[in-house]
This record gives sequence, C-alpha cells and structure tokens, in this order.
Amino acid sequence: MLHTNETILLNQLKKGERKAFDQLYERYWLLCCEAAYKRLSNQEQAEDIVQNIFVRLWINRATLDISNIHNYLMVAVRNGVLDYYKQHKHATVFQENFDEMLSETAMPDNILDAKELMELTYAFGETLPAKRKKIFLLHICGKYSTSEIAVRLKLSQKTVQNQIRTSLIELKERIALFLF
Amino acid sequence: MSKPEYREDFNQLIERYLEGKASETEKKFVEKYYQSFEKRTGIYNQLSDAEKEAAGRNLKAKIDASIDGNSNKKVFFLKSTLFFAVSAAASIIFILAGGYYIFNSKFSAKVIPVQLTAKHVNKEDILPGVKKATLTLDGGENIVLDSAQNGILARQGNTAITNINGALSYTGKNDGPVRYNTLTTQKGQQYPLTLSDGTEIFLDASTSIRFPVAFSGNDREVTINGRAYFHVAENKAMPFYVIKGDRKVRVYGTQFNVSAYDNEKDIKVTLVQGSVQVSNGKKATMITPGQQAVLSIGNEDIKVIEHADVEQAIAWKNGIISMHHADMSDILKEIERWYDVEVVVNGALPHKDFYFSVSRNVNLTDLLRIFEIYHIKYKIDAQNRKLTVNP
Repeated sequence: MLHTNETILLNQLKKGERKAFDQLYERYWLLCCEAAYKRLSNQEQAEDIVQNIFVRLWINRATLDISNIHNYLMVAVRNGVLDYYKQHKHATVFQENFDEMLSETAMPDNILDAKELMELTYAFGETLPAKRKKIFLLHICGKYSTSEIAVRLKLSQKTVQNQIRTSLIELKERIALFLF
Repeated sequence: MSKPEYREDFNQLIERYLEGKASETEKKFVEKYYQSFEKRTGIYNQLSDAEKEAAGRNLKAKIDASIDGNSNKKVFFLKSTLFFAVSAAASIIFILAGGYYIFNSKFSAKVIPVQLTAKHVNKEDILPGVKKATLTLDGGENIVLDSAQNGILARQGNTAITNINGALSYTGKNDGPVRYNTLTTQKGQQYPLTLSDGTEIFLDASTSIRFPVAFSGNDREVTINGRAYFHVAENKAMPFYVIKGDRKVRVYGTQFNVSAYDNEKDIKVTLVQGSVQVSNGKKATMITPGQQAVLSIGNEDIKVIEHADVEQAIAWKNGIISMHHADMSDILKEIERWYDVEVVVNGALPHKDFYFSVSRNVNLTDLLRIFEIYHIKYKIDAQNRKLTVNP
C-alpha cells in the first residue's frame, strides 16, 4: 500500500506537483535529519544537508530516476554527510569517532559493539597499502585479544571466546596469514 | 602507535568514495563506518511532538524559500548559516593543523572515547545553550532575539535591522550621526550577526559587541567583551578594528577568533585566514594563519604561538566543546558559560590533563561523563543551576 502510494507520489513529483513533494517531505524529513545528525552531532549542519537534498530533489525532479525514495534519500544523506566532512574535516564528530575507534582505550561496554568495532577496524586495515596494513594489523588490531576483551568487559574469557569466536578467530587467522 | 597518522588515509578514502574511485574493499569500509553511527541516539526523538513539528516546519520554510527564490536557476542556491561562511581557505588551515598533529608528539595523547548514549532529560539535568541574544538600540531600547521573529526589527537612520531564521543583520548606509548598537549574549546563549559592511560575527556565550549601525569615517571599529568569531569583509580603504580596552586587533580582511573574557587573564586572537595586527597600546605584532597572539594583563609583551591549536580555538563555532590538554578550571569555565550554571568547587582541583571533544548539543550530565572517567565526583542542582564539584 505504502509502496504503491509512493510510486504515485514519485510520478506526480516528476510532473511537477508540489503537493507530492510536500508529502514526501512530510514522510521523510525526520528520518533524513536524524540520520545526518547521528553522524555530525550538530542539528544545524544536519538540517542544512537535508535542506540541500530536498531542494535538489525538487529542482531535478524531471530528470531524476528514483525507484525507491527511501533508498534515494538515505544515499543522498550519506553523500551529503561525507561531502560536508570533506569540507570540514577536523572539526567533526565523524572524524573524532574514527580516532576513537583506533585509540587504545576504545572498548564498548558490550560484546556486540566490541565485535562491530573490531570488524570495522579490520575493514579499515584492509584498505591500506600492503606495508602499512601489516603495521596497522599488528599494532591496532593486536589489541583485540580475547583475554584483553574479557578483562575490559569484566567477562570470563570463555564467554568472550564463545561469543565472538568466529570473527576473532577469523581475524587472527587472516593476520597470521598476512604476517607469515 | 599514534592514531592521527591514519587520518590522512581515512580522509583520502572518503574523497575517493565521493569521486566514485573507491575500490570494493574501500567502499565496504566507508559504508560500514557510516552505518556504525546508526545506533547512536538522535536528537529529534528527544523533542516533544510540538517541537518536532516546529523543526520540520522551519526546515520546510527554508526549502520552500530556496526553491521559490531559485526556480529559474539550476542547482545553485545560497547556504544560509554562518557555519558555512567558513570558506575553503579555512579548511586548508584545518588540514595544516592536522598535519601538525602528526609531527608533534605533544598531541599524541589518548583520545578519551565518550559514549554518549541513552541521553535523556531528567529533572536533575541541565540543557545546553541556545541561539538567543539581546539587542540594545541607540536609544537604549532592548529587543530579545531568537529564531522566532522574522523580518525587520527596527530602523536606525537609514539602516534596517533584520532578524531572519535566528540571524541578525544590518543593511544600509550611514547618514549623519554615528549610532551604536550593542548585541549581548548571556551565559548559555550564542548568536550570529552581520554588520552593514557584510562582516560576519558569531558571538559565543557571555559576550557583548558594540558596533556602529553603519560605518563612516576612515575606520571600522567594534568593541568586544567575550568570545566571537569574525569573518571581516575586505575594505582596504577602511581598516577594521576589534577593540577591548587598550588592546586592539587591526584586520586586513580575514577570519579569526577572539577570546577576551573579563574573567580570563589572557586575550587570545587566533587567525584562521588572512592577516591581522594585534597591539596592546605599547607593542604591536602581526600574526599569520595558524598563529595565536596572547595578550596578558600586566605584560606588555605579546606572545605569539607559532603553531596554535586552531581547531580547539574555533571548535565552539562548529558546535563542539574541544579540550586539548585542558585543565579542570578551563573546563569548568566553559561549563559555566555554556550551561549557565554556577560552579562550586569543594577542595583543590587536581592537575589533570584533559583531552576530549564532545558536541555542544549534549546535556550537562552527558558532558560530565568525562569527569566520571577521571573519578571526579559532582552533583547537579538543576533547580538552582548549580554544579558542585568534589575533586
């Protein structure tokens, strides 16, 4: 139902019906603003990005080929955030979070987050050129030993091993493969 | 194993992603990294339905204004906020400052990860500052400003004073006698201002700026008490001066931050772009971008910090509380100003080196988690706006 509705709205938007545009705004502004805010921690910047997106949506309505407005907007917010970051690198939470991710003290207070952080850190390591990757994996990913996670999260090593076994073992194997 | 060395990799990665040149592995990381923010607490879900509606309406009004004012053009439209007045040149300075981190071991301190989750407003919490100020007209009349009023507030001679979307601006030419207005922010307030020559000034909390409604004569002079970020419109024929007592900053078309609070012994001028001359009545010196001039009371020498922490000096303007190698008294002063609280300290403050950044939008209890990390006890009395610290 919702889907059909949106197909109709998108068609109307293409034809230049402002009411369809208004309805799409009503449905999605909050989702867009919240998504941008989560990355920037600044309401004004978040809203500026969303303003930009909706203005462009209207201006380019005739030429845009959107099949799924939700996906379109989410990708637009992502690009808006990344583009904002590109312009204002050192003063954003987007980068601070990256620094924190690599810092020695970064350790979320639950296993799921720890696992995610670990995977994310590893995914970054993967993007580095060979030599730097080696150093990165040794020094940064090296902090994720099961015993250390267990101590920091005040859990038994057994629990940690069981819960994040797969990713950690996989990670270690890949590091080992890479190093030797 | 310093982390900042990976920043450049990260930044390049984002640029490649935006240009569509990223590899699959790189795309995967960027998208995963972006996604990892999803579980954070947002801000809109904490607003009441009425506030949410108002936010949605305001944004829609801006969108409509952009569309209807630009219906004939293709994709160009003006960004409205002062935040975006920071030009590309300013970003270059940020990058230089970043480079400095890499080479100076002093900055390899650990970043304290502050998990700002589960944010909720309770009775014992204090909200951050807001966009608000008081304008005092030439005749002494006071007008309280916020984002609510839109349109022309008053006229002073040939100058019109308008307040649109929470930004005050002056337009018009001088006609005869010079009239002065004063814009004042209390604790917990900030406000943007555009002077009649196009100069943009962003006032932080507890700040006042006195300025002519229109400039005439050979100079443009404004006086300051507090902290503000300046983006001065270039006019070689009329130099711009920022004045506090006998301390003076002469500006040659540029962007810089001035921190000149009465309760702080130093006046700090941090240059982002262009060039300025600072003087204290006895001595004068020029500074270049990335430098900070420090004028201390009772010291006629002007200290120039060669590689200043520009990022920290202007973080407030970008909505961030940034403390790099700060001690507790600095942090408490900042809290007093931005959260409009009285701070009471029982006992001696420990000598600790704080290093963190958090959004200026967080509630006081969230900010004070920094103290929890350091095992510093505190109590908030929200009703009397009082923060008691027991180090």
